[in-house]
Amino acid sequence: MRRFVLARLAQAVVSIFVLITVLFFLVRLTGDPVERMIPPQVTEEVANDLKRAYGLDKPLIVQYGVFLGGLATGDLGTSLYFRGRTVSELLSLRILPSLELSVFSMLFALLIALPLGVYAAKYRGRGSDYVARIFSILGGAAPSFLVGLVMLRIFSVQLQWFPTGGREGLLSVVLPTFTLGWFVSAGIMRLTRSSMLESLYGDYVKLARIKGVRESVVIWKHAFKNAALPVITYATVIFAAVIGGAIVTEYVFAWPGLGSLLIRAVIQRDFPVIQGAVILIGSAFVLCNFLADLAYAWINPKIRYTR
Amino acid sequence: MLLEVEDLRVQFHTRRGVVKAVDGVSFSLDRGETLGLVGESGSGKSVSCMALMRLVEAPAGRIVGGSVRLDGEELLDLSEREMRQIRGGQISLILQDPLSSLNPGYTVGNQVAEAIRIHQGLRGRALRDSVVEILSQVGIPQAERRLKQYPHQMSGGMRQRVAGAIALSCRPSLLIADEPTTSLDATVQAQYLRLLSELQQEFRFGMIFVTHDLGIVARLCDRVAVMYAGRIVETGSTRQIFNEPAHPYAKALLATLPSLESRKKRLLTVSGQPPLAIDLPPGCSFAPRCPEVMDVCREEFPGEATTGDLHRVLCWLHSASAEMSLPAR
Repeated sequence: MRRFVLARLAQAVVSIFVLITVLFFLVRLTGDPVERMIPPQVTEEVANDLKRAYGLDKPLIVQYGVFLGGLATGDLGTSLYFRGRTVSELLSLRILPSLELSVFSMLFALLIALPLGVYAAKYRGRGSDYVARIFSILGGAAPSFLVGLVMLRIFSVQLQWFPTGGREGLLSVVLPTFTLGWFVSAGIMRLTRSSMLESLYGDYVKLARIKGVRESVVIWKHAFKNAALPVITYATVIFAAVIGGAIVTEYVFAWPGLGSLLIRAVIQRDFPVIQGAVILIGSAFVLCNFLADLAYAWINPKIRYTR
Repeated sequence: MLLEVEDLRVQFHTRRGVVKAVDGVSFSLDRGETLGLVGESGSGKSVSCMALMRLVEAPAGRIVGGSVRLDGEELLDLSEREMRQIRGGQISLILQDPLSSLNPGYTVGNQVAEAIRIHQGLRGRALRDSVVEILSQVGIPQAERRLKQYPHQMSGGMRQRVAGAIALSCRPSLLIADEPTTSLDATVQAQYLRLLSELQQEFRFGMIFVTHDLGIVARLCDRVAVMYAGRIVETGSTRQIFNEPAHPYAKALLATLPSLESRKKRLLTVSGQPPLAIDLPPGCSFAPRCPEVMDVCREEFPGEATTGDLHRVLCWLHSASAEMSLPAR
């Protein structure tokens, strides 16, 4: 087990290193950040001064060295756009709201999608199956901005139950959670359903019934545990994606998360912020995958991580 | 009588039509007795067995008629809750494939304990002792140590013993074994069959042994029922069926048995394909493959004929002669 964790950790460090290296050079292909900072009529001399001040005049490879050096000491650099504020400071302000939204949406999605998927499989071809599938198709097909705007229109503007945006108090989480959660639940529900269908026709489920086990126990103890494996993989990957990628939902509800920070950084060519955010999101991704692997071992004892 | 099955009918509703998987099956079984249920794949053997436990896959499959009495109690009238008490308690079933019939996600101990907990209400120490006891009884060495193992950590033979332990853990009066040895190799198979016989002598359960291996039937069974296209076409004692098979299908099946004496170089098979149970011919369903087919066979289904003590057959060859010979006796 320890060897497995260490090996996985080493793997994670390598993947993140490759990620940030590729990213470092790719973002620099998008153009010059200084152009975005100054009005067009400013002389080239001023622009060069700015470049020098941010270290952008040095050769790429030197800049890369400086970046890695900073990274080694935990310094992600200073934002080019939010002047004078460090990347770490900006990220730390955004990580909590992002986590909050993604955790709530994920919980909401699982709470809806798992029972729905399980019962859709159990009652395949009947009414409840169709209802569940329509719910899931709508969730996956309706764009988040549309769902978000409709929610806002009904529940915030007309009924005035929830605030229209921002992050103040528990009520403000409800609509973004629903919008994002519905979208996320669509895939989870469909995967749960198909995975359960396979498992429900398995011999071990038959044997459980032969033993006289109650149907609810047959479904949740015997069938679901084995059906959960692909669902867990998918859910963790989606979770990681949602942490940094809920850009549209964040935008519609003016949610101060990582997604909106990242999109602004990209537009402004704020290299240090882009790098910092991607490192953070990438780490979250790697961590989630690691947790999924641990969950595997618990669910399927055949997967042993001793080697 | 331990088990009396009368005119059991099971249908499956598919998009292509109604499949009469079990079409009027009747037989009975005593305690301590073993009935061999033989026939080709798709003849309705497994469905009949699942129907005895009322575990036909709904909503496509339904038991549409008949009667199943266990110790005189009509099982088809019981509520689902009462039926759960019967399953695993009084009737048990061993499935074909030990690899897939044990849940990969739970330890062997857990899976054996589940049935005992449900039917005997044991908990804790007593439950554990009971699990160890039944595992030792089915010949699993060091049962104590095996409790925490997962199915994939055991050999096929051991897994099938675990399946046997699960089935026998609550001392059922009826054990159905649905081709339990097909996935085991020959030596393990022989051991397992011996074990089943020993356990049967010890616990006195009635056993229905589903197989298409006539060799096993000869060794293990007191009586044989031959199934074809959802019906039992011939039933009698093992000796009767092997020595004087009456139905052409039973004869053909027996002819497929390779014997040491026979000099034939090729293995025989029953020629032709079993019919699709979806649109059976109007007459005898074996008529299209039957070497002794007559005109009447294609038009009308034969009635039951008795050719000897408890030896019954569904075949025109015997219907006529039986009717004529009966008064003479």
